[in-house]
This record gives sequence, C-alpha cells and structure tokens, in this order.
Amino acid sequence: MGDPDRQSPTPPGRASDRFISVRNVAKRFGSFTAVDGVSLDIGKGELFALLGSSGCGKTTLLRMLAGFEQPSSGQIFIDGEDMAGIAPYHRPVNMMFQSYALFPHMTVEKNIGYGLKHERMAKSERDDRVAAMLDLVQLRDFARRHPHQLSGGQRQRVALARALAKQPKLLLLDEPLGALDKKLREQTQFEIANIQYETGITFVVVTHDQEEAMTLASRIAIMDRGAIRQLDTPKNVYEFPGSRFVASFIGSVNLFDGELVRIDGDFADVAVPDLGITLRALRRGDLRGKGRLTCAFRPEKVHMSRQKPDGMGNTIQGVVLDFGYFGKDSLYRIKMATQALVRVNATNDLRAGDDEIVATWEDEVYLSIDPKAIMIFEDEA
Amino acid sequence: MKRLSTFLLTMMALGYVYLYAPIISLIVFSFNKSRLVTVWGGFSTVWYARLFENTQILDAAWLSLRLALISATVATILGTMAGIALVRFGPFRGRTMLSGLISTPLVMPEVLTGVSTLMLFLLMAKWIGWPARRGFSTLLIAHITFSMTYVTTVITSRLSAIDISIEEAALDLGSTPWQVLRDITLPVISPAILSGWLLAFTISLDDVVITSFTNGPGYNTLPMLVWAKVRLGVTPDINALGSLIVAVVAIGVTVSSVVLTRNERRRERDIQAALLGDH
Amino acid sequence: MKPGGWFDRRGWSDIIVGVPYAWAIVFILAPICIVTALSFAVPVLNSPPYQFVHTWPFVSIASFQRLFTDSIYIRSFSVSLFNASIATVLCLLIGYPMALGLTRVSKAANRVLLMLIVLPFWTSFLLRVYAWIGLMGNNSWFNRLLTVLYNILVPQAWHLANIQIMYTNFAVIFVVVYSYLPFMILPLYANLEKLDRTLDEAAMDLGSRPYQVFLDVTLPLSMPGIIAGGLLVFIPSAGELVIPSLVGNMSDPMIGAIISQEFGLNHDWPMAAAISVALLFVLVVPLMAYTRYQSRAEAGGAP
Repeated sequence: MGDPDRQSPTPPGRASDRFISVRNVAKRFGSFTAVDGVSLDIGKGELFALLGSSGCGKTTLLRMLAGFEQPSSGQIFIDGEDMAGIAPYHRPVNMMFQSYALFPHMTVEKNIGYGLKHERMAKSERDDRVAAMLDLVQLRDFARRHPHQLSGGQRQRVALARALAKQPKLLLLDEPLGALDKKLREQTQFEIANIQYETGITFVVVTHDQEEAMTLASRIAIMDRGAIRQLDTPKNVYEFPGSRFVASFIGSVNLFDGELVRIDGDFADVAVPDLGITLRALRRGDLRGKGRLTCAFRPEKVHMSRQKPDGMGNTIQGVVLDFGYFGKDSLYRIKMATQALVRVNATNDLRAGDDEIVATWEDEVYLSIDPKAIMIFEDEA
Repeated sequence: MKRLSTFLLTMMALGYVYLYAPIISLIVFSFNKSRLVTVWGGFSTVWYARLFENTQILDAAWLSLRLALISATVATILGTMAGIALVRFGPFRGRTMLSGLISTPLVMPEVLTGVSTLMLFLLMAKWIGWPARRGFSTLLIAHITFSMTYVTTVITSRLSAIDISIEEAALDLGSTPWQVLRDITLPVISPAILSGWLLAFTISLDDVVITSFTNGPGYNTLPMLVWAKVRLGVTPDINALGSLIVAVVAIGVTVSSVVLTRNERRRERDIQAALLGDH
Repeated sequence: MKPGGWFDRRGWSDIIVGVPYAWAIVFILAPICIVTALSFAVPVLNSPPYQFVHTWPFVSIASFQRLFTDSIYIRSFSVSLFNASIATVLCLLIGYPMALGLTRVSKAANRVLLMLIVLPFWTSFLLRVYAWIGLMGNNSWFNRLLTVLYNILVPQAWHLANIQIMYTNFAVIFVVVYSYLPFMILPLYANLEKLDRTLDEAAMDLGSRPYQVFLDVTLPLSMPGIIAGGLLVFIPSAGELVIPSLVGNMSDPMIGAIISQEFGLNHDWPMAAAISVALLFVLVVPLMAYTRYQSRAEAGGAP
C-alpha cells in the first residue's frame, strides 16, 4: 500500500531486539481458551500496549508475564531467559495493578520500599532508592502518609513508584489510567511516557481504552478472543487497519458492503448499493478478481459541503438527519436517498453563528471521500 | 492464586476432626447397650425408648420449647423496633445510650447478666411486690432481654446494608412513613427478622447460666435438667437426647441450605439470562 | 446523604423507640446500676441481705478491700484470666489456619465447610461439653488412645495406666477451646475473606515468598479479625461457669463459680456485686476502649 512505513514489519526497528519474546503461548482454563497461541516480540525500552475489550485474553497474557499464571503451552523469554516454572517473586518483572494494590497498613515510603525489603540491600542504599522514586513521581512531601490519605492520582503514582523501585527488566501496567478522571488521565499519560523514557525500562500496558493505548504506546497489539488481530504502530493501526474488526474496534467508521467491479491500476472500483454509487478506492496490494467485500471510511475523512464540489469523484448527496455539537467538532448523520446513514465529522474551525459551513437539519449536503481514505476488506461479515 | 497449601489442608482436616469427633462419638454411644457410656456393649435403641418414658425430661423439654417460642417472638418484635430506630430514625436523643445498652449483654459474661438480673428481681419483689416468686415470667423476661440484643444486632447490620433510597423512593411516590415501613422496610428486612427469630429461639433453648439465676423451683428447663444430670455423671439417655438434637438440627440446616442454594442458583441463572438479553 | 431521618412522624414513632428503650433501661441498665450500688453496701443478716452505711460517705469499700486481700479472690481471678488467655491463644492457633483455608477452597466446598463450622452453634452447648466428658473419662477410647501414645513416647518408668484429664484445669481449657472455636473462626473468616487478594499478588510480585506475604500483608491486615475473635473467646471464657462446674477442678474455682457462690451460698450480695464490678472492669472496659479506637480508626481510614 501507499504508506511505506506500514510495509516494515518492525517499526522503529525495536522488536528485532527480542528482549521479551512470547512464543506460541496458549492458556486454557478448563474448556475455555483465554489465550490462543500468541506470539510477539517486544524490544528493550519499548512502551508496548495490549489493547482489547474485556475477556479478550490481554489480562491473562499479562498475568503470565508476571508469573501469576503458567502458560498451558508455549514459552515466554525475558532477556533471553525462559520463564517457565519461575515464581512471580523470582522474576525480573514488576506490575502496577489496576486497583493499585497499595498496602493499606504501610506508609507511602514503606510501600515503595517494600520490594527492596527482601533484597539484600544496605539500608542507606534502600533509603536513597526510595527517595529517588519519591522524587521521580513528585511525592516527596507525602512519604509518611498512608494510601487512604492520598488522592486517586497520587495513589496511582505511588503504585508506579513501587513497581519501579526494584528496577525491573519489565514493568507491566494493568489499565494504568482506568481509575482516573478524564482531566487527570491526559496529564498522567504524558507522565508515564516521560518516566518510561527516563528510566529506559520496558513497559507493557494492558488497556481496553484505545485512546490510552494510542497516546502511550509505540506499538499496539490488538487482541480479540485470545489472539492478536493486528500488531502495529498506533498510526498504522488507525489509518491502515488490517481487518474489518480492527477498523471498527479502533475509532469510529462507516462500514458498507460492496462488490468489486474492476481493478484499474492502483485503484479499485467497488459498487456500494447502500450508497447508490460506485466508490473508487485505493487498491490493496493483494486484492484480486471480483467478489464481495467491505468498504470503510472514517467520519472525519469525509468532506461535507452544501455546494456540489467540482471535479471530485466519490461524491454522494444526502440530507442532514441530525447532528451532535461537541464544541471542537460536530458529528452529523446524513441520510442517503437509499435511507442508509453516513456519519460525518466536521471540524468547527469557524466561530459558531458564522453559518458558512455548518449545516443544519434537513439541509441538502454533498459528501465526497478521497479514494485514499477508503479502506477495503475482504473479510466481509 | 487460589491454592491451598498442604499445611492449611492438614490444619483444616484436624480442625474438623476436633470439632466433630466428640459429636460422632456421642451419637455412636447413644446406641450402646451397656450402661457404661464409654465401653461398647452391643447395638441397642433402649436409651431412646427410656428417654420417651422419662416424664421429667419431657416436661423440661416442653417448658424450654414454650419459653423459647414466646421469648423469641417478643424479642424479635422488640429487637426489630430497636434496630429500625437505631438505623433509620437518624440521630435522636439518647440514641448512643440505646445502642450501648443493647450491646451490653453481648459483651458481658453471662454470669454477670444472671446475677444482676436476679438482684433486680429480688429487689423488685421487695419494693413493688412483683415478682413474688421466680418462675415462668422471670425466665421469660430474662430470655427476652438477652435474645433481643442478638435480634437487634442482626436487624441493624442488615438494615444498614440496605440502600435508604428505596424508602425515599416510596416516600417520593406518595407513601406515608407508616406505609413505607409496612410496604418497603419490613418486607425487605424480613429474611433478617426470620434469622433473628431463629437465633433468639436457639439461644433461649440453649441457655444455662442466665436461666440458672432467674428460674424458680419447679421451673427446670431442659438445659438445667441436663446440667444437673451431667453433674452427677454421664448417662446413656443424655447421649440419646444429644443425638436427637443433633439429628433435628442437621436435618433442619440441610433442608434450609438446600432450599437456599436452589433459590440462589435460580437467581444466578436469572441474572445471567437477563444480562445476555442485553446483547 | 446520611442514612436515617425519613421516619420522623411523631406519635407512634415514639412508640417504636420507646418500648425497646424502656425495656433496656429496666432490664439492662437497672441491674447494672443495682450491682454497682450494692458493691458499696455491707452484708447483713436480713432480707434482702445488705445495708448501706448511714454515715458519710455512705459507701463502704470493704468488699473491694477483701477482693484485693483475700487470696481466694486473687487466685480465682488469676486462674480465670490465665485459662481465658491460654484458651484464646489456642483458639487462634487452631482457628487461624482453618479460617484462612476456608478462603482458599472452592465456592461449593466453602459453603459446606462453613456450615459445618456453624452447625455446632445450633446444637446444645451443654451437649458439646457432655460429649467431651464422655471422651475424657479415664475409661474412654480417647483417653486410652492418648495413654497408649504417651506410653510409646516416654520411658517405661513413667508409664501410666491412664491420663487424668477430667477435673483438671487442662480439661477446662480444652473444652473451652472446643466450645468457643467457632467464635474465633467466624470473625476471622469474615475478615480474611474481605482482604483484597491482589495485595498478596502485589507482594509476591515485589519479591516476597508466600510466607513473607503472610507475615507482611495477610497477618497485619487480619488484626481486626484476630482482635474481634479474641474478644469473643476471651470474655465468655473468663466468666465461664458451666464448663468448670462439669470438668474442672472444684478446689481451684474460676471467678464465675465464686460469684455464684457468694451470692447463692454465702448470701453476701455486696461481695458478689463487688466481684462482678471488678470483672466488668477487667473485661468490658478494655473492650470499650478498643471499640472506640476501632471506630475512630475507621472514621480516619475511610478512603
């Protein structure tokens, strides 16, 4: 496809390190298969995300990395060492729990220093390390407090500091931002990324929140029903989803069934009955012959105007059914002559009241879609 | 990690042996032909027959049963009132004192409750001429008093776990406080009322110490009779009596838990089905 | 909003508070006041057998003086507290692993095993004591088994025909532990069951072995359960009257028997009242202090 970045299987050239290597790992609980033959490599110092909805197997995979579960089959290597049969307390892996799991009977200081307690380490060295961690997460003034005396964001930072104190080879973060409110998430997101950069420790984040995964991670593995559906950079996962599932899982998307009419060089023409036109789309490298397929395009890639645009293909006419105003943008639902609905995102880049572009109920509008913005999938449902 | 270590498993096994060995031994020897309770002399049900011929035991059992039924019922009414007052009436004057008084018999050794209640009865008899003799009424008052505190504990813990907004919803929909109490609060806590009553009933049926202070001549409850008999030595008819009690309790508990389990399973299935209906 | 307050209609809501309140004042508060008052009276040969001093300061502390000087009271107090302490520790040692084990078994097994803990509650307390009397007697199979085991372990010179268990202090402790074990297990289980298991995982993740996880996390966090269970065992066993009367050494009585004796046999009401007040102070005052501390800790510890 057009984007050269997408073709390279190992973006930023990191996974080739194979610092963490998961080989064909499966985990079965009775008759239920939670993880079904997952293989992936994670490079040293990478910030990697496992993204999926609940029950997709991401947490089980994380728990196998931590050592709380043993794989039913397959192997896990960390820094070249096979982890089979190694107890959680002997692994160079630490975890930041979703609930934070701070010890309620210990102060912040004691919590952070706990992992060092059972290591043979001089007390002064231990104190120094705890102090350094407190500085890292900016909680120096809170050292003597108990967890219940901290805000949600502060607890989250204590949990992070505690997990980092032992300087693990791998840090696992289970829904690290899940318990924070929206404003705090944004700020914490950058903090985690900064800390990861400063410490150089490999982070694996498990999350069901695509925004969290996209902003934090350098690469994302999208999991579904125990298997990895796509593994790529956030940008590629969004712009070049490998399947209809990934396209609809990440972000919002208009999906239409279609039929391949012909292939014309780099382009493919797809008849879409629901829209009443034949859409021209960028051809996928492996697309051959005729057949049913799925056309997809994201709401924000659709250009909407009240005048018929000149010289643009892929133009369809519709009527504004309704719209939601979100401030920075608006989401329109446009009804086609065929009764099909198309969702369109329009940026409100002009002041409201200036109704140059803003369409309203019952307005007739023209939608045009750049062929490069149209994705086609053969895994038609 | 749900793993049971060998150590815990061994300790549990030993613990249950400790809890049940004497009870099983008691049941086995209730079928002993020999008069000696500890030496096996062959199988026999003679002690059960003997038990049902013993009018003293039957009378005592009947007294205990009547006492337990009445005291549990009165204690449940009083305890439920106190529980509702403590949890739902907000901060009224004397609330702390009421909750303190109610919890006192729970934390006092029974011998203190017994002695102090007896002193009260004796002084009342002196000052107001009642109770002239100790008997059923004094027993009843003493049993109601300590049973009530257990009922209150059961009711308050259940009631404070119930979201007050369902009662507020009823008020909002136009019910008077009295209707809220009758239509919402009492039905919702009815399982707690039932278990409070059962608790009061068994505690009354089982009480020795407080009864021993507050009963009068001729008012021997079953535990008092057993206590007196056991002080004189072990006899096989007590084994038979004990086995009967164990059997009744075991059957009752098993039946109720089977019913409860079945209800709970049905509930879980309903919840599952309802959740699936969402998709 | 704070729970409570919807129910504010005057009239019959006063009845709902008033009836149990009146009952509690007459039959709970009044007896305690009477006992406290009588402990400052002097015994007389009359009916009722006490009298208050008619001269300033109108109270007599003679009973309390006897309590602290007469060796029989000191002795019985110490026997009671000793027995109760040993019994509490034993209950904890037996009950803790059982309660912990109950939190680690499957849901179905948990239901049955928990029921087996509660079941003895519903049977008669006296009969459970009685069952042990049968087992501890010198001719019982249990005593013989113990004797044989003992004789195997010790040299021939120390062999015994049987082990005297009945009518000893040991028998009292043994039966008290048996009778009150569920009181230890249930609050402990309730506490352990509520503990967040991810804390165990967090500790293990940070490098602690299972036994270190227990010492660092489980044990300190189960302290409220230990204290609650401990009090539920300690208080009734310190005042225990029935068990010592059946299996104990009557020449070395516990405090419950002394109170009962002073009151019933000696008709010394002031003495019985003074011992009661003293026992109340020893047992209930620490409890109240603890409850206060606990509720304050909870108020402060709420997240």
